[in-house]
Amino acid sequence: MNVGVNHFVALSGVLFAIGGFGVVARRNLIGVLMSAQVMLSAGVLALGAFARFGYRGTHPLGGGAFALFAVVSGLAEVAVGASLLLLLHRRRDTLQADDLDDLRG
Amino acid sequence: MTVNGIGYWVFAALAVMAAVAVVASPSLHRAAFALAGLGGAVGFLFVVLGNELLFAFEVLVYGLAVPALIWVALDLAGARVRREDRRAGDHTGWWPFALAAACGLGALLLGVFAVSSGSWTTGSPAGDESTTRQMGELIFKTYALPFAVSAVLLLTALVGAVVTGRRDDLEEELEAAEEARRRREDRMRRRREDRERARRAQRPAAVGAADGDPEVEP
Repeated sequence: MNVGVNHFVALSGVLFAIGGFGVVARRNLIGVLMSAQVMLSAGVLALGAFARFGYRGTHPLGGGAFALFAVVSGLAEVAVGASLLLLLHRRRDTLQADDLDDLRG
Repeated sequence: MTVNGIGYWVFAALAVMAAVAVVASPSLHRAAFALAGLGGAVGFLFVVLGNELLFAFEVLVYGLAVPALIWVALDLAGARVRREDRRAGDHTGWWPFALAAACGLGALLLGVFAVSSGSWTTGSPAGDESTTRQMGELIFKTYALPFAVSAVLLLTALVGAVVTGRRDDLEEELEAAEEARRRREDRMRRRREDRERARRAQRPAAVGAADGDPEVEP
């Protein structure tokens, strides 16, 4: 069976949906952060597939370059996110999303 | 343009299983392990795609760096998170709605891809040889500015993480005040115990004098 760009993009969509479920349904904020990383991995995978197969007139490896920038952004997100979560834990003594409802309207 | 089908299906299955483990595992430590597995699986999918540079980045960042950061955060957060860890697998009460929304999103994405697969126009494929060299040239020539911006972003994020993570002056003052209060309470408790002990020691002597000790001269 031939595997083309559609297969990779479809897999990316499945991974993105799984990560989206985790972001919405996870109760612990570190779990939410990890689920967001699953979503970002899905996007990176799609960009990598475009880097292989190209898209219309763009440079075939342009997707790879954007994938690298996305990976760097994800790393920055995790670093800042983990630091903020530690700060939150020190001040509020909890990382459960249900306990942090100060802004509930 | 095709790639190795067996490799794709194997690593795609591993990636999906790892992703499900990340979002569903009751233990956050195990979820971090699954995240490392997801990074490895996606990295090998890049090998299937013939892009070694992305494989190296994916494995280093998502397979090692991000799970390590998560583990450090879990350990620094202390015992309380580890206790919460046991019930971290409890999802919010309305997780069925989240599951339905995620299924809907996945179905929508797959539907769009299925509908558009016929009209999907791929460009000229990247050759199998020297992908890393081509990407290096692309990054340092065509995308030099975004590369510099991403480097500044990473540096800013790391400095921000350090600044955010360290204790500020107010927290240190509060901790010092708490320590001083504890020490003062200990000192007062010790002084109270000493007084109590001295009173107990004096009481038998006073009782003996009141009973009229024959040894004592009037």
